[in-house]
Amino acid sequence: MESCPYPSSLEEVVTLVKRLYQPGSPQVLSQIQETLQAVQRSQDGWKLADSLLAVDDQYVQFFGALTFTVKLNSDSGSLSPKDIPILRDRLIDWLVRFDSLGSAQLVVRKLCSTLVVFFIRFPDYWDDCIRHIICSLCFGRFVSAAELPQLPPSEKILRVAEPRMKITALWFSAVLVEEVGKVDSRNVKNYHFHNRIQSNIEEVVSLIGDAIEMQNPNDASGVTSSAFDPRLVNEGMKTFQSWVFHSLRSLSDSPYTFSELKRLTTRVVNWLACSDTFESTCEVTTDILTNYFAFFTPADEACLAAIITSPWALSRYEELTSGDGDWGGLQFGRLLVAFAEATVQKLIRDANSPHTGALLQMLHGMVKVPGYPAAEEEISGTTFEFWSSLAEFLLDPENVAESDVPSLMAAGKKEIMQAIEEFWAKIQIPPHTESLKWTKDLRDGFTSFRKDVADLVEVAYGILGLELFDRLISQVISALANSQTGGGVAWEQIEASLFCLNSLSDCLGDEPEEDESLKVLFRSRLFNILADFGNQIPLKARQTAVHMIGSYAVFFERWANFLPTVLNFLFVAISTPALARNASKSISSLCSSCRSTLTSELSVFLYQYELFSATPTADDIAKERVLCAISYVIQALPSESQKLDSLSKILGYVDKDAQQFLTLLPQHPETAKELGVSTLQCLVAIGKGLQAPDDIPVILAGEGGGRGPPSFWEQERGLAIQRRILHIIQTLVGSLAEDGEIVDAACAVFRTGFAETAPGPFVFPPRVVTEFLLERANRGVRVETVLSTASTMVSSHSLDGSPDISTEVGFFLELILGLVERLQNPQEDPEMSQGLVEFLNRLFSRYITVIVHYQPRERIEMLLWFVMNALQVRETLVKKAACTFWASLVSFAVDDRPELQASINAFVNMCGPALAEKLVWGIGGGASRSEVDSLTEPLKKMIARQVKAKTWLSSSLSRNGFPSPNLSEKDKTVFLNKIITLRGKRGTNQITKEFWLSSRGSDFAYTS
Amino acid sequence: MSLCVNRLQEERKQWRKDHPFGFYAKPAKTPQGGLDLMKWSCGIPGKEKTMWEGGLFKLDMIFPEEYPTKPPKCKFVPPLFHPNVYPSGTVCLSILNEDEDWKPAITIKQILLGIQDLLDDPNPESPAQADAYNLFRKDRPAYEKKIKYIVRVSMLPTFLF
Repeated sequence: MESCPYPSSLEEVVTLVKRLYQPGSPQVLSQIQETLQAVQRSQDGWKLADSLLAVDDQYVQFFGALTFTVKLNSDSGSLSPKDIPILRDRLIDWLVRFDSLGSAQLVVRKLCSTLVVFFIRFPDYWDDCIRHIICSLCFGRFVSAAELPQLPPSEKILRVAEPRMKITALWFSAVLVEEVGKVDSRNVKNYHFHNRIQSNIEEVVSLIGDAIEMQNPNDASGVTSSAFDPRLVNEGMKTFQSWVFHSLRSLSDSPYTFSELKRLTTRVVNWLACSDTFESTCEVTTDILTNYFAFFTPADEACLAAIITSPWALSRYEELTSGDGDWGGLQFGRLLVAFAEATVQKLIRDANSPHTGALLQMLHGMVKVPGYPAAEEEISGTTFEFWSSLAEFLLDPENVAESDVPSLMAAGKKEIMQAIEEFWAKIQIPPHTESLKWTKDLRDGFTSFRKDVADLVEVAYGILGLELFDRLISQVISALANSQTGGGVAWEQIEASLFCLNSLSDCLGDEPEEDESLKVLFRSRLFNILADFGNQIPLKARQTAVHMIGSYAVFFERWANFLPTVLNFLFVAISTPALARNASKSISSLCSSCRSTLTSELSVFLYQYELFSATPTADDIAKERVLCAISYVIQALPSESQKLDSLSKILGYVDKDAQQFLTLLPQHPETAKELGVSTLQCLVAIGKGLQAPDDIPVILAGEGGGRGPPSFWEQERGLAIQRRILHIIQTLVGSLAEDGEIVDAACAVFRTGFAETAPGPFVFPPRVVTEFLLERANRGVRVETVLSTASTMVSSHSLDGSPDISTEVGFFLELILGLVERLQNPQEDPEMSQGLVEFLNRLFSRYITVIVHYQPRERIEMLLWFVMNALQVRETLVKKAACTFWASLVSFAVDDRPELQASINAFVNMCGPALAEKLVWGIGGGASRSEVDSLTEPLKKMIARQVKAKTWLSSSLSRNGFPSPNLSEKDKTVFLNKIITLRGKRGTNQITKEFWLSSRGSDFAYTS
Repeated sequence: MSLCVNRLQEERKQWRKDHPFGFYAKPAKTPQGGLDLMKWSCGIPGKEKTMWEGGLFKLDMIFPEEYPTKPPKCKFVPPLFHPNVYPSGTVCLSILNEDEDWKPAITIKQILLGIQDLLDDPNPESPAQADAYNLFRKDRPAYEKKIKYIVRVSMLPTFLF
């Protein structure tokens, strides 16, 4: 690679700079750049910058300005207090020279930003920066700071200055406020920037005011005065925007509001109608309307209203809606929406005035722009903000006299209903031939638009209520009626109505008046046609219908007579792969809500399921959902024996899958496994479907938790069902040689019975479950799943009235002791350790005696030390489980069983000192900060319940340098005294957090 | 109006103006049919080109009175199988933790995008539930299969135009 030697003269630097801006190989250029950067940063940088500016070449001059910036940023400390004003004046001098020579924009702008960097470095050296710049530029020479007070006011000076000079001053002012805005004002050190900026406000107002002064303010549409320079006005607008934006930020950051800028707003809006200045004016006006409407005075608002509905605006609007977007039509549209949104209250109050009427007309017109939204036009979607604001205002009309509300509502309702109808037309689905041409982005855009409409419809319901329902449903009915008179069914219209109705399903109360309208819909021929002629109807229309039925499950709960037709349609739909999942979801929703009214339909459902499951494309998730749905209905049957008959039938379908699994296994083990998992998930679905619903009162088994006489499901035919289920599980688990996923799925089947309080086909005897789980654990597969399943079983058998499973718990304890012996250290297998500690945690409420009475006691001691060490395991879940364990153990109290209490106390006394030490270690910085709260729990319990707590803690804290060398003896004593005084109360958490922070050595401390 | 309500109204406005595709976020309804700004129902789509693509996961965002000084609580309903989601459904994420990276300037949009990122990029340093975490750590293929199953169950209706 060509090397780039360090230049030894100005000429060499100039040559390098010129080469840098010429085309060349990237390697060479980057080397030149490196060399030049070294030159810039060198001691001679200041001098070099100045010399470069004197070279007559715009790139070299640019580089000179850049070099000043680099030096200011990297080396401003090298300037003496005497040098600073000299540098400032030198830079101003350069700016004036370049400006008066009409130098390249590139150079002039760069110098402006260099001057701004100077200001940010040395704000105290430049009080009146904007005036200083204005005066120097307008006099065409460097003006000293001392001269400034003697000169006429800037306003006067500007009046006779060339536009070029003013534009340069505007650039400087804009960059100034933008860069200062980037400095964090919350930092106290930076606060004075904002003071300095504030002191320049009058100057900037004069400067912008002069730039956007209208020569002939009476002629808003055709400013053609010879003095008119659109560049100047546009730069004036941009600078205004930068200052307004800064002032908006300041609203939250500092006490300044820059109210002086408000003096310019009238002049700003007047430039809207001038085509040369429209874009920049429109942008700043829209920004203010959207973010800070209060910036405008009532006069501005009136002026804007007049402009927006003037003949000028009407012709802009015509261009916008006719699809001519070249001139910035979308921007005009945004202005309309922003104005309407900002003045929504007023707008709807004078909906009948010509101005407002015209504006509303335009907003409606924007929704009606032809074409598919997002795919063909972008205009209609920009109006959502307005319609939603209008709807929300009407929902809660603030600041409106009570007597005005009715007329306001009437006007508002009319507009909202009209907008909904317009949007209804826009969301209609395209013919398939059309949407095929759309890219993914267009389809996403169209879908997104429909969702926005759904949201608007939902808000609109709050205002329109029943009327909205009626309108949507009558649209469906009339679309159907058209077909009867010979025309085709307009499915895209029906779909649009059903789509809107879908979004309203959550809005209805308990006994809604809308039911009558819904009856009209569900009584119509719609769902028969959908079921009988499905293949001639667009898929999307069927999909939306499927979805809509599911959303109105509560309606069918009240009006069960409409169920057969819609369910028939849904069952037909599940055989269409694209609809299967949605249809099964709706079936499941209806069967869950209307289970008791559907029991007479069970045989039909079973038949339908049989047909569906026999199709080769039957979707696995749809199968699970339909089985779950049928099980909901079975659950509602009055007698166990009736349940048994239907259950036997659906188990037959599951059996079939299990058989197929066995057939597939030898040749296609992977496919077989998928089927195996899916088969077990079907069992899970059935088990879940059979669970008693939450609203059924719980009938508890006999008192005392003893095991009563065998239930229906534990003898004869009932037992046979349980055995059948078990057989399926065992066949699958056995054939796949203990595959992890199969074991997980099998455990999930058992879990469905745990939550039940009454006997049932999936409520297996604990002995059976225990045998199954222990066998898995002994083979070493998914021990974590086994432990967590066992934990759930223990919890469900800890409730009052549930059978006592001490024997089974004993077996699991044996398993756990074996695991602990094998692992020795919980860090060895954190996941398994966590599982076993969680299991132990479940024993406290009912089965603690299984631990206490275990012999030999040494093994239990080993278990306790294991859980003790778990407090120091890296993995947070293990630590948290162990914290729960120790919190439960140290606070365990049974007043009526002194002997049990004594045994527990013996354990606690044995472990106390070590426990104290582990907790102090963790809270003293050993654990992570998010674990401190968990570790504080056992600490609080220990202090509250154990008399020796202080001794234990103080002995571990007395060790030198423990838990952290950052803590002094006094720190530790203060900590101990504080937590002991709090006696386990909540305030302890704050103290332990502070202790953790000091231990870690952070100087950041909470103030308590 | 309180700072909290003010900010939430602003968030709603901003969301309506601009939200990422496939997401939704809106205040829940009160029993009287009004809006409850303190509780939002949201939906997070799985990110494209990840195994979460196509899924839509529902989440409640519950705002404390001290919002935006304190972060909202984000809770998947139903609880989601994911290493950083507590069994209750609450999301464990540093930007949602007052003691960690929460800043009052964080918007609802940023929170939802952050959670979307978390879906495919779990943080093994702060596990919140054992089931998903263990499978993630010990049997990645099974973890991925399980995620794909969950995604299919939560699947959005496909585009059928």
